[in-house]
Amino acid sequence: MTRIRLVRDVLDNQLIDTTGQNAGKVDGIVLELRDSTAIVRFVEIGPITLARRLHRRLGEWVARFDARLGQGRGAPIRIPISRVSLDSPSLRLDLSADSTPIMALERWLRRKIVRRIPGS
Amino acid sequence: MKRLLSVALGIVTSVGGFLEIGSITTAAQAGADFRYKLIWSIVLGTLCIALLIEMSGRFAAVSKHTIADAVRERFGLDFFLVPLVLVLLISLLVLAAEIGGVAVAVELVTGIHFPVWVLPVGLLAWGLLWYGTFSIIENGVSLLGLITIAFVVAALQLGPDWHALSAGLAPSLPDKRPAHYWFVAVSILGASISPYLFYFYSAGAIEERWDVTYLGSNRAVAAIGMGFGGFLSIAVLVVAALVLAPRGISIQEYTQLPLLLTTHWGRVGLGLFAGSLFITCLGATAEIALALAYQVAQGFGWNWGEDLEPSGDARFSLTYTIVLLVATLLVLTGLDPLKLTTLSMALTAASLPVAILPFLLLMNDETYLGEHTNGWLGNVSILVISVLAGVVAIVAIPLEIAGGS
Amino acid sequence: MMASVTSGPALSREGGNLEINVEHLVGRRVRDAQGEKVGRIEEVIAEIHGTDWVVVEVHLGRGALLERLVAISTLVPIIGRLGKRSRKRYSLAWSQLDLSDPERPRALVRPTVLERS
Repeated sequence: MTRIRLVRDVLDNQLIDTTGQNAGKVDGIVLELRDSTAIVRFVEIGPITLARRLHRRLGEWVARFDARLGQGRGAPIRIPISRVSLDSPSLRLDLSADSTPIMALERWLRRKIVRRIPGS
Repeated sequence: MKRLLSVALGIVTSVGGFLEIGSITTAAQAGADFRYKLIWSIVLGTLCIALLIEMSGRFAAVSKHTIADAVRERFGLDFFLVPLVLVLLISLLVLAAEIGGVAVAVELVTGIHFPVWVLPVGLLAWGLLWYGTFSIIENGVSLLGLITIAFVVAALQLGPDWHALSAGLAPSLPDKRPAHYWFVAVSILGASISPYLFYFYSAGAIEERWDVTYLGSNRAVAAIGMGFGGFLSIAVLVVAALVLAPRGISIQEYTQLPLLLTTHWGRVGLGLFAGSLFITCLGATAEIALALAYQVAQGFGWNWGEDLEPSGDARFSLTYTIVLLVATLLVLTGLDPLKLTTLSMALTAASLPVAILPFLLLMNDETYLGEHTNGWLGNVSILVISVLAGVVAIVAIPLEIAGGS
Repeated sequence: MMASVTSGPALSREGGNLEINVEHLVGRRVRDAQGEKVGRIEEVIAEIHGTDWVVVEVHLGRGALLERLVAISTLVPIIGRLGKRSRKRYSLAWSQLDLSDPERPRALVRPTVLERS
């Protein structure tokens, strides 16, 4: 039976997607509680989750800012745990990061700022 | 053969990239105020950074992780953020000092007061990073940095008192101005042991795809490269001891620094000094900005890399852009470049225990390093030096501010 | 299947199920039935049963700064000498952890002492 140490080996570890690019770090892990058992449902990624770890108020503030960036945002990005596998010390994501909101900030910055600078 | 060439290049870039405004200023002050007595501080600082660089390279080559990346993974968010914020704040001050250094170099040659040059310099540094590649920056600027060998030539020409020089290799207590002595001593340590250096080095090792076979080369580059670099710092100190100390000149203004080479070499000396300052500070500016961006990007798991087009790693590129912008603005607030330099060096020393501890713990972690973890000697040396530096700095800084310049 | 984007504080109800984030559990102090301190949550262990990652136990420790660093990384000889006494770690089965008040977790039984691994 494979035992997984969620704090040591999953939380804060690097996610690598199917194209080999960095898909961020696991910033949070969501457990679903059922009676006296719990299962891991999602990993969470992104600034909202990070901010919440530091202080709940900060998390709300970041969430509001994030909501302004576009449709359907303002909430943490969640990836189902079924798409994640251990590849110590990193984690493999069997999706491409571009197909998720993970790269949203990157894409937005690329469009709005980087592309506007000559010679990029 | 190719490996040998790469080692040689690594050594040369370490040497050429070793000096910057911090090491030049602190070595000059040490020589001017205490002649050869503080050479031991340069030796200690050089030894320490050589060890840290070797560890940094070994870590990247074996674990295929950078340090910032691993600190977050292993210790979690808060233990990653505390050193990050501390190193970030202090490095911004150092960065401002370096940008100031480049601007001062241009002032020396043009006669036009340095604040005018600050913005163009910031833009130049940014342009190097945005449009350049890792190799061009690292190698190009560092090769040009060999101009600093002028200090060695000057030192030899002036003919130092070898007996007194060798006595200075051993730590000694000051016979006058003790608070200032220890302040300069820790500033030298802070100039030599900059945390951004080992973040930068581990990122570089990953960019150049090092693996276990590079461990020997890594050791050579660290030992010889840093060793020669320290040697250059000592040369600056010796020149100051021979040129400034006998004339009772203590460095209070940045305009006094060129005296190191102009006193005996006139206008050629001015050109050599300005050239040295320009190149070394520009290189350091690029390095620090990159190192900070590496730290942030790796800690948050973004794509990063100097060789990537900025559109391939927008967050990383914008991070170093913002870092450069903030530092440039800091210089424009009118801080005296000399005071900024010595203070930021001393603050670096004060921050060493916090900045180094996570790294040191990682160097003993078998999950990342397998059989290549640190030996006890390496651990103890680093621990002792960084704690000592931190403690002495915390005591010396307030004393210097109260009593000194 | 796209990543579902939902919101929620540390403990929330999502489609009838209660959720909690691991990173908010870490560091929380666990008390026993008498209200005595047992330790702080340092690790959460899951087992893979089929396609599910089932949480099976938590590990408790003093949660002190230095101790966290040492426990998390492999044994560091220099620091290892310090705090031998405080390195008692406990293991508590998940089913014996009462999270009805998630800010104040309770141990329903006496946790077993974890052998130093």
